Amino acid sequence: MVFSFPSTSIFVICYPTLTCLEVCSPLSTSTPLKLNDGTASFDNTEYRRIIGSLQYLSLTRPNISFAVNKLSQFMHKPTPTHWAATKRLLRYLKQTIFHGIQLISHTHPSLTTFSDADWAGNLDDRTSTSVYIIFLGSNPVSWSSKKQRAVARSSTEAEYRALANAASETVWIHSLLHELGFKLNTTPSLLCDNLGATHLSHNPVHHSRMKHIQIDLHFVRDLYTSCSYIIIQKIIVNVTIKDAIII
Amino acid sequence: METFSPVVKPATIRIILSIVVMNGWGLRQLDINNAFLHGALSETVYMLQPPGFKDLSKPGHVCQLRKAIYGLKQAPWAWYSALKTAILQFGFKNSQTDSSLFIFRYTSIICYFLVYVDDLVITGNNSDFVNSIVKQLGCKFSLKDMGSLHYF
Repeated sequence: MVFSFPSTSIFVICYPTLTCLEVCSPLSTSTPLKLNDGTASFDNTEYRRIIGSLQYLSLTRPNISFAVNKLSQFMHKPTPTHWAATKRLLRYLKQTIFHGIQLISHTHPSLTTFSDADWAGNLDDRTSTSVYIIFLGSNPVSWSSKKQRAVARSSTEAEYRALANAASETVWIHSLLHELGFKLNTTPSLLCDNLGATHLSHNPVHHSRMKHIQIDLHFVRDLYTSCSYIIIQKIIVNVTIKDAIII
Repeated sequence: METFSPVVKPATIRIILSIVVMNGWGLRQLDINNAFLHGALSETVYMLQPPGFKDLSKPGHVCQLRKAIYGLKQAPWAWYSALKTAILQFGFKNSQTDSSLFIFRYTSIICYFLVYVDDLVITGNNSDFVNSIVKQLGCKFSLKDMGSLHYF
């Protein structure tokens, strides 16, 4: 069973002038996007209109959520560079127009969360971005890409904040499944690719350097230790699923 | 004054869809006709006589509303509480985690009810039970049975 909003096709048809250059990812990794890139800003009405539609589209497309979140940060003052990145995203959508979320019936009743952060990825204020994607069996059910509010001084700190964010959503989904009477056959697992962050969630190492993120720290650790709600593991594979949303 | 009508969270829809696919259940979609007109009003509200329907003998009179009407601030909330009361009467429980989700679990029967203002999705493991709920709901509100879910 494949679900996708018909809006992808409607959306791309509105822009028939797009040339069909081959693009294989939603955002370019070589051209960084900054708030002030030296080019003059221009009329932002059209830009805002497209970003608004893209935000709606990301309800069924986890693969564009990072790109849409990034481009949304320039809504107040878009420049030709941002406009070019948006058009590139539209080209990507045109190429993947028939993609949707595939829900599979024969899958294990388990809850798996992948979390990640791009440390200091924002070139304007050096904040990081938290991302997570949650799978029920092999069906994606929840995802998010969000700019962190405070600057992280180490990648562990950035990853840990992302982990806390992902943990709270996982607990919410866990309680929803419990209410629905849906039984999981394993404890929900939270996967993160930072060894420091996994160690931190198990025991209080590096306490002196982590004092300032105590709320997140205790939140995740409590879930892990007292309630046995979740297990937190370091992900071992090289190419991970969450890379799909953070590119 | 409450003016808010909850909409279902995208994650809740995806979880329900996922469970439905995993169990091979059917999905029914319903649409309520003129949803906001079903709500009851707790406040006294007056309205100018609508253009074209003015009583020429009493042009200075106003109408007192007995029920909610479109454009009224409290209409979405009034509709939600009317629907909620009806669903709770059928034996459903309001979910603690998402207020627009209603759950029925009794013996082996499971039934989920999703509310997106006037769009409703109903699913469960017993199609006879789902049919009876749709029928009972049809007696309370005028609704359009859209058949199996294709767009939400």
